[in-house]
Amino acid sequence: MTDIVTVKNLKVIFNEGNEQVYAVNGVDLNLRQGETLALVGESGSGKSVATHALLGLLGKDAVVTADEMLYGETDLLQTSRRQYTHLRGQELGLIFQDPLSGLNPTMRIGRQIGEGLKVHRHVHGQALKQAVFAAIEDVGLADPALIARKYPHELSGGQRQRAMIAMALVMQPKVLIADEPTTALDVTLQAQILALIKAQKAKHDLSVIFITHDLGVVANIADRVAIMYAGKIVEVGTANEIFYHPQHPYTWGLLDAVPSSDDQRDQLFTLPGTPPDLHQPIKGDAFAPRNPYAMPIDFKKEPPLFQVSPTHFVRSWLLDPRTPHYQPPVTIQKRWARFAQLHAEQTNDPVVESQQAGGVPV
Amino acid sequence: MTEPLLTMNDLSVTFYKGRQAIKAVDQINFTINAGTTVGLVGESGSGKTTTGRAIAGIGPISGGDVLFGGQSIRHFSHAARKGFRRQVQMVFQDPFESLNPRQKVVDIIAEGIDNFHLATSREARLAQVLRLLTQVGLPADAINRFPHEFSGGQRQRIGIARALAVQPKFLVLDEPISALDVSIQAQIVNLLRQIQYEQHLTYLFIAHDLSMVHYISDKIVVMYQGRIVEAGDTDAIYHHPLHPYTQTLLSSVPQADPMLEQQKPVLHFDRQALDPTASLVEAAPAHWVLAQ
Repeated sequence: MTDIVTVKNLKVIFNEGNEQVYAVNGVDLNLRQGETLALVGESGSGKSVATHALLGLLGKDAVVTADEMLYGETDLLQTSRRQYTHLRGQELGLIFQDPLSGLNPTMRIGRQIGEGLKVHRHVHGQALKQAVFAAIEDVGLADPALIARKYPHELSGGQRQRAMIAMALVMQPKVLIADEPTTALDVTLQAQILALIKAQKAKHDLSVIFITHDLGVVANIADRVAIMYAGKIVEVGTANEIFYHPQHPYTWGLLDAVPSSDDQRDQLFTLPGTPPDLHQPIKGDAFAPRNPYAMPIDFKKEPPLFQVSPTHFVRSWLLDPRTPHYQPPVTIQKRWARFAQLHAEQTNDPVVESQQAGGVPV
Repeated sequence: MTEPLLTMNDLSVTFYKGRQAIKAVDQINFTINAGTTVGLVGESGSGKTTTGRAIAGIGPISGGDVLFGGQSIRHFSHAARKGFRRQVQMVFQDPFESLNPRQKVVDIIAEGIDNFHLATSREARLAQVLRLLTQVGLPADAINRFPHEFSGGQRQRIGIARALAVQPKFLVLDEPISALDVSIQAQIVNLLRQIQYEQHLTYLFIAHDLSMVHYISDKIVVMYQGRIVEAGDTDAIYHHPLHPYTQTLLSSVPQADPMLEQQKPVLHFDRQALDPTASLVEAAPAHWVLAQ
């Protein structure tokens, strides 16, 4: 599969008066044609900032640098504001958590959905009307003529979220960036919106970056998963690799914080401490102070990226072959056993023990 | 048999929009036993928050009654009402909006202590606040700071400390973790469980996150359109949901397990109005479902 988006060593620093905030600290990211990549992290991990940098949406107080930032053949580092406006209108679609902040409250839904077509593609009159109605029907809203006449506040939460998706998809973008689009919705609505995004993705061969902190949603929608912490991607792999063969202690912590359907634990696992202060550049591994598995080197030197499989990469010293033998938490061992079983069902090769596989940093 | 701490008897709350009556809560009946947690689930507009507010005594009641320790909360004497107001506390969803931004943490937490004259001196008041901060896992130097200096999880801890300050018996927890990150959610749920165990508290946990509700609740009540469609022990509801709405709700919850998610059928619930004449029937011991 070809990469439609390639980001290398992306850094974002915000200038706040005399202070700097190091929000994104060297993110490598590639989005493959036709896949859904989930970007997972907690508030302040830099997941939204990184994607906003990609879309050219950050303000003047942000300093964005990267070794490379490509959309297809387009060099996003050399893209002017004007060209970006054009790109966002046509090729890179965006949907937000809160549809009210993405919709103009004073404009009828139909006009808003058609706006991009009119401005960028010069579609007018009957053709515009037909395209708008088709887009509204496409996202599962019955009676497009009625919906098109309404204002955002006249729609329910679910209808608004659908309208915003219609607005993004009517331009037939190549890439859809979904920033927590279901976080504010009820679970039944969330399930419908997730199904809708999946169906639209298949229909239009979209590539999707899905930002969320909900691991259930990730399991539902993602082909690949990237876990972010303190402005870096600390683990990336296929959904099966991240859920059944996780290697980074932060990923373990996230998975263990969610109760399973038959959870008998008296207490859920919680990571000690708090995320690091991003006002200073971080020495060593940013996760070290909260890492029960931290070794002296974690506090001194930042770990390189270790390769576990052709698709699975981890930024943790645990993967170094010199690291003494360790056992992950029991809950994680169970996941690894499941992975070995899945692997055995698919191939005859045994699972290579990750620490050995990860012997070579990349 | 444990004694029910709270009993809802045909509790109804009706709001009026012009001449149109909206039955937000429509004759619901359930009990909450002392020391247990009842999870109240349902979508936005199902009436779960209205129910919680009515039980906590801060929302209107239009019909029926709520018994607290066997006494009607609608017909309290002045003294009894004061006792009730102390024993029942509420923790809100949004710790960013429910704390007064101009008040120092010490005064936020001590509000109830002051209202109910629970401290005899300034030193006693301060000592109580410090003890509460320790209990909810916040540092002592938090007292002179303002809410905006804290993260979402820490603010929710402040909200819990404020509720605990008056030594309540019963907490209504209205979506206390919905606005928080996953690992912070686990911290708050752990804290709530620990406090419940230590102080023998009773909880009504209102939520739409069904995996946390499953984890924390002894009993589940499912509301839809202001009515209870199903109620019973947590495991019974999760393993053998009987009402189509409950089944759809549970099938909609994404599990952190990709293989499971790929195989799972997505159910659709025909969102028509419930039959107004239908009543709850006991389909299995202590497992109630609205007849269809």
